[in-house]
Amino acid sequence: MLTILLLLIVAATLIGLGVHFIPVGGAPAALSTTAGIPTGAPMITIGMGVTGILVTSSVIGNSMLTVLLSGMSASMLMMAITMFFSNMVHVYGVGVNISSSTFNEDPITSFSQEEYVSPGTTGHGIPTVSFISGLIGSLLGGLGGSLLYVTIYDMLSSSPAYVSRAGVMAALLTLLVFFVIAVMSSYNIGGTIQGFYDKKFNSKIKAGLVASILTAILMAVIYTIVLGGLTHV
Amino acid sequence: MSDDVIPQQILLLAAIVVGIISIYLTAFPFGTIFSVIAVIVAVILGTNTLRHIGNYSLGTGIPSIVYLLSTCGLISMIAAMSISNYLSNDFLFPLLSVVLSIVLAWIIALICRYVFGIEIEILAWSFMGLSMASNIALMGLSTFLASTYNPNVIFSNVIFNGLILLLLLMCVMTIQNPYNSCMGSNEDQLRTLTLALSIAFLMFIVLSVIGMLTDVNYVIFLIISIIGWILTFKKYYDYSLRQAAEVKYHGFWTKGDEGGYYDK
Repeated sequence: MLTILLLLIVAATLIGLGVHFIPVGGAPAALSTTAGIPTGAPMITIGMGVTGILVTSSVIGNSMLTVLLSGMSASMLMMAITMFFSNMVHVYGVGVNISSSTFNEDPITSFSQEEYVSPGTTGHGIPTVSFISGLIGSLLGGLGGSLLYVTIYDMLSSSPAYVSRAGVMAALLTLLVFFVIAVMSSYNIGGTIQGFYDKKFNSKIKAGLVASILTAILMAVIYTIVLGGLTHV
Repeated sequence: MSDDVIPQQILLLAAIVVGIISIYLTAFPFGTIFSVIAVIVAVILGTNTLRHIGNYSLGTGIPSIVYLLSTCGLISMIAAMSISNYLSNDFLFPLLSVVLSIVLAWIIALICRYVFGIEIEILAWSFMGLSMASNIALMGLSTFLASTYNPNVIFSNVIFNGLILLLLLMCVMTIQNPYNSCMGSNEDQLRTLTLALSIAFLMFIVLSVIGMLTDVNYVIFLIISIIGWILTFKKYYDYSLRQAAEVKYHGFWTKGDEGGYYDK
């Protein structure tokens, strides 16, 4: 039981950490007045979680490594497609440059940012370093989600009464963790963030890590009680 | 936001007492009607609590608060069902579920208060109220389909076939939509709560159709909820007209310096 508690804590903490890496722009990004993904942090995290759970549940039964890698790559793929097409719409639809005013120079492409930011805005689209940050975030989130799914599934399918229902319960309980942790992390971020190269990231990540661990412990304790009660015959 | 016509305390007390008693009464014959009552009092409490916390900016939109706390309500419901299964005592489930949802929301409010430093006085109370309201609403929606509060029946009829996620999103929509669509300086308690009632009936129309797949008697609830929806939506329309500013047809602007787009 203790192993399951620890695994649940680790998995939920990974999800909470991952949310902070995702470049979120919110409603201003949809109007091209700030950089980032044009939706709120909870929505994009829940979408990422659902994609991860979908693929994890379809490959469950294989080795642990395969399942974790599948969930991880599904979340990363979903995030990459979202960010890529957001950029396509910004460049070819709206007609703005991809740039952000939260840093002077992109560390990967070493493109200067300031001249390309429209006056009165703080950037538009998702610059390369924010794109990489989003991929790291979805990697952590997908890893946490699939780890959570596998832990709950293994625990439930060990009991003979739940062999056919373990998948439903595991998907449901994993999704609920995404709901809670995504909203908690977005309270911490408070608006927009441009990934790990943003100055805001350093000031927010400490409180985010502490809150993620505390929320993870809370969820893990309750889930252990739920799983213990369900598998008790 | 104008002053409250009905105080929050009365709604809170009514939701706790009427809600929990209604959940217990669902086990009796023809008790399904009590689930409707439980959902209605819970949704009214949830919307009224959201009216107070919604005035403060928490860093993300209104729906996110309800997503967070409805999930807390659902987790505490599943935990309470699991515990009462373990103790093989069905009577414990509704009461334990409400208590767990309050404790869960309180811990989350403490994390927001001391780790994130969100300084809002009513944060803890609002979180507890919303969590409890969504918990009672979810129990009501589940007992509506299961016709009893027995955890084993709810597990097999609502949770293992995945319907619970639909119920969760219904609960979120019913609680957050009325305030989200009525918010503003002209927001009025009676109008918002009437819209909440109307959306609750709208959700019961969908649930009655789902219930009719297994039991034909659910057609009674379909008729009740359609009548309820028409009555409450008419009332909401009246309130909206009463509070709206006067609307007059003005016509296109005259030909002049800036005009000329609409006349050839």
